[in-house]
Amino acid sequence: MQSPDYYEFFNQAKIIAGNKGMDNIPLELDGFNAQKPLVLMNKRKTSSCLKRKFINALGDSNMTVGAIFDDVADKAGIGQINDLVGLFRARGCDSMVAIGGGGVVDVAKGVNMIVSLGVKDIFQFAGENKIPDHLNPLVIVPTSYATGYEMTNKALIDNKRFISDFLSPDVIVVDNSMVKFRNNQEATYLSLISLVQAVESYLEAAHNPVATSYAYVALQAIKDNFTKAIAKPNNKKVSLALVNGMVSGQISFANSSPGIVFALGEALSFITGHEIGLSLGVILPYALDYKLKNKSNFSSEIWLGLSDFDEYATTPESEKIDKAILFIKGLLSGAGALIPKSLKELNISKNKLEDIASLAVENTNNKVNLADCQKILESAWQGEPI
Amino acid sequence: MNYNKYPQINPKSKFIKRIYVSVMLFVVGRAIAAAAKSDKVVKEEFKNLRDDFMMRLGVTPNGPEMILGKNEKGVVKYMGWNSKGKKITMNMQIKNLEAAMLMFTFQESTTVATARDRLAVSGDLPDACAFVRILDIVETYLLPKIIVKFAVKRYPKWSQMSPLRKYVGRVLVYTRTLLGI
Amino acid sequence: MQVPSYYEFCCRVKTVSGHNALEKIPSFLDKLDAKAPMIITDKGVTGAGLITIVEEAIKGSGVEIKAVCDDVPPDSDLKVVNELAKVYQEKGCDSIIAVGGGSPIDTAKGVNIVVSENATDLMQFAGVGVIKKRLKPMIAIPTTSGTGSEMTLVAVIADHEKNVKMAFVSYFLLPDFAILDSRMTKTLPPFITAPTAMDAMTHAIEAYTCLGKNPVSDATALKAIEMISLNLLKVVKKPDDLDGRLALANASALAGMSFSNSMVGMVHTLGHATGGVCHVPHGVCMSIFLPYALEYNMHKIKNDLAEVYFALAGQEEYAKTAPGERAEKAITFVRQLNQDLHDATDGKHARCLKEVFDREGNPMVPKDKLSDIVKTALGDASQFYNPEDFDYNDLMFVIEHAWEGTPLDRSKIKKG
Repeated sequence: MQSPDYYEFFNQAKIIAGNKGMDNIPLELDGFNAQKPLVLMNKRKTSSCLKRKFINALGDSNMTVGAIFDDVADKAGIGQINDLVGLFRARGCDSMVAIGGGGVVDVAKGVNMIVSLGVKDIFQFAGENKIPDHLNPLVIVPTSYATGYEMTNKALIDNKRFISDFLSPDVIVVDNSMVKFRNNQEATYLSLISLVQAVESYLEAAHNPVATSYAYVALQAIKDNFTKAIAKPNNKKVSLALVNGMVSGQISFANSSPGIVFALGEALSFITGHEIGLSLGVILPYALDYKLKNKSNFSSEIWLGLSDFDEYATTPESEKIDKAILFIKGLLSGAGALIPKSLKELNISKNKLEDIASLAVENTNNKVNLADCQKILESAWQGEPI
Repeated sequence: MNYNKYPQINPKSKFIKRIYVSVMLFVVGRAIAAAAKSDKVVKEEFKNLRDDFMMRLGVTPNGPEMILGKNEKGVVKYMGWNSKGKKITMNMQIKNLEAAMLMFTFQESTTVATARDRLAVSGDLPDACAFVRILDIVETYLLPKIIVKFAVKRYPKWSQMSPLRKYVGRVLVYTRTLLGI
Repeated sequence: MQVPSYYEFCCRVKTVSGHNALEKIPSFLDKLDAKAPMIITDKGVTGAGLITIVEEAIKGSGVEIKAVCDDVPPDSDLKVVNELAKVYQEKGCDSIIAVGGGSPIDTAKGVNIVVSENATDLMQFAGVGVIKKRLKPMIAIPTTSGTGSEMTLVAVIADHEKNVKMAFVSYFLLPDFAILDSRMTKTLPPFITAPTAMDAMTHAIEAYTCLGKNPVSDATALKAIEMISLNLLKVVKKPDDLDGRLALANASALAGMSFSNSMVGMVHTLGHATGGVCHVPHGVCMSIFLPYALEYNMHKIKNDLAEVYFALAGQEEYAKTAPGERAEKAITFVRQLNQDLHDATDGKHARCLKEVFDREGNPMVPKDKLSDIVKTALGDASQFYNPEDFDYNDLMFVIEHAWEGTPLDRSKIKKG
């Protein structure tokens, strides 16, 4: 592929993935001259046995854990962030570790902003590129639960968005022992987030070769493991591959223009309370059909991510995108009842669609088109392609 | 918030694993010193190393470790398990105790461990290459073929290590390792 | 996709690519709170007028270039590092812009250590993980495609007085930004474009086939191989093809991301040593040794090499070729590429060691030096990552063939 006229790509995180990954955390933090992290978890989304595994991994190191706070709220709020700032300072911590996804990571990023920059008002940094300097080191240990922004340069606190390269985690540790899916619903939702984020890197106008490389990793992980994960969610190897893919997918997503599918899924999740993975799973096939009908700039390389070299090489150019879409739809229908066929089935009332579309546009700073959003949502609600 | 509900956590020592790795490092150190006296190729490798060669192979951050070097007479000796006061010319750090366990239970060979960034080498890099070659030979002496095949990249063929050399060497290395001569 | 049971991947450099990417430098410096950079480069770069382009791009932005230092030798030198650090302090600089290939970028990394740590003795920072805090802001602008040094966390500085080479390894050595602008390689002559691109090709292929391979480095390597394959000959024949130049710059950066995370093997083992003993330019060594290392490792890398063939030759050729033959065809492709480059550069691009000549036309690799090269190669750490083991005899076998330009007799390879 040729490179676009202009692009930027950034990935702050060191990715550590595999057997005994967490045992590296002390040395990695020491590399930043940090030895005492505050560790955050959400016991409702992450099993408590993972806490024990984390503590065991620190054995025989020079790292002291300032505290493990396992009661982080599902959604990040300034009240809890301020409480945790107090704990951070009381214990003399110098870094953050977030175990899990969603609110845990947002809270970690929130605490990090306050303690690193010595400010009281975090919301002065809301918006894009308002954070003036590097923050303390942040390590994320993903588990089987994620909402899509953890590994990126974004945080969502009290429904306000913070976007800055300084929010990106410094280390991401995907450890075998921490990623086992608890059930096939968890596996499906996480994989859907990864799938959409990867697919959208191929959908946008300027595919940059670095972002699509990362997206390729995510798509390959899904191609090899999505169906297996639904059948056997607690297979460690499958979980590891999918979470690894998700990390990669998020990084490619963070470096691509906001995609319409993720924007709609996120807006839908916010307004209706449904899990983001579920929302994405329902909307995706309709969005793909819509994009194809409108001949949006779709790279045929997406088929390479979802197949192998032999299949890709023997598919005529004109059929590659069709095959990719067919494959994705096949994956989604293979999930059966885990992914409803329409928004109607989720009991979402039709008059909410307008709000969802507007929120998607607002969240992406008008980078997605309102009319497109409305048409896709309409189609997804009916359960009929446009 | 009640801070006491979330206490500070200090790392525990992994006592048994430390002992195991300490013993393995001791054996490796003594065995290499033994091979330096008993094997022609190992002798030649050490001859090419600097006169003040002193290496440390150990686990970050608190050991255990093994020091191996040349004494004033140029003889290769196992110098103990403490690098204090010694001028280290080549440092091989195993990044954590679990990585050391993977290496010394042969789940990951030296080369696989390096490829997976489990080791960090600083100082004289050519000496590190020589050390790994020496270690491969010593492992061939110490361990049965079925284990060595996992520990080294290429098990030496007859042309590189005749059965005579292997078995005589094995006896000599074991004897010298155990007796420290 | 192969997922190893464990891997690490890190590339924290912000990559910026575009035909007018240089113009963004002031905004990047502003993000890092800097506005008084020092430019570190070499005479070749200033001679080609590239610094003028950089200066023009920054003019009028409020950024003031405090010093332009182009006295950097081909091998980064401790004395030069210390001198430049002094200039940095004296001129009140607050950031560094490195413009050039491996040596200016490595030198800039060394200067950054000295000025950030206020070091009187650079040696105390040598080794792995000794540097634990952020250094001064640094932007790297590569002018070849390339060494990929803008993506590596290593700097090697030679102390020529003590005859010692110091290696510094730390993520903090990574530049904050790498700017890939097509204007920086537009005037690179074909006989330099060819080997520097083959350097990038080698990085990518070795990253894909050696022991440190991982999913992320595989993806970036594959992309790099494809982009070089599609653009190299085009650009050698038509040097002002800016789209092609940008593609090669991207490929070099992608290859840099790959190899800095999965390391390299025999091509670099022999290549570094040949460069060290006979002073052959790095890219030239890479082009020559690449097919030989692939032949040597073939029995261990057949499947991976077949996939490399997909990226090298494209999907049509790949589909036409029987699965069992793809790996062999990859080697043939590389040899043919070297031949095509040889033809397109009027014989300047060497295909084997006996064809390597200096500017005066003297052969650079006498046959009697091969043994010295091999002895040096045995001390190169890249051997750890090569899929197959090798000793003195194995390397002599390979280098003798690489000297003559004859393919290896693979029945003679001792397989592990």
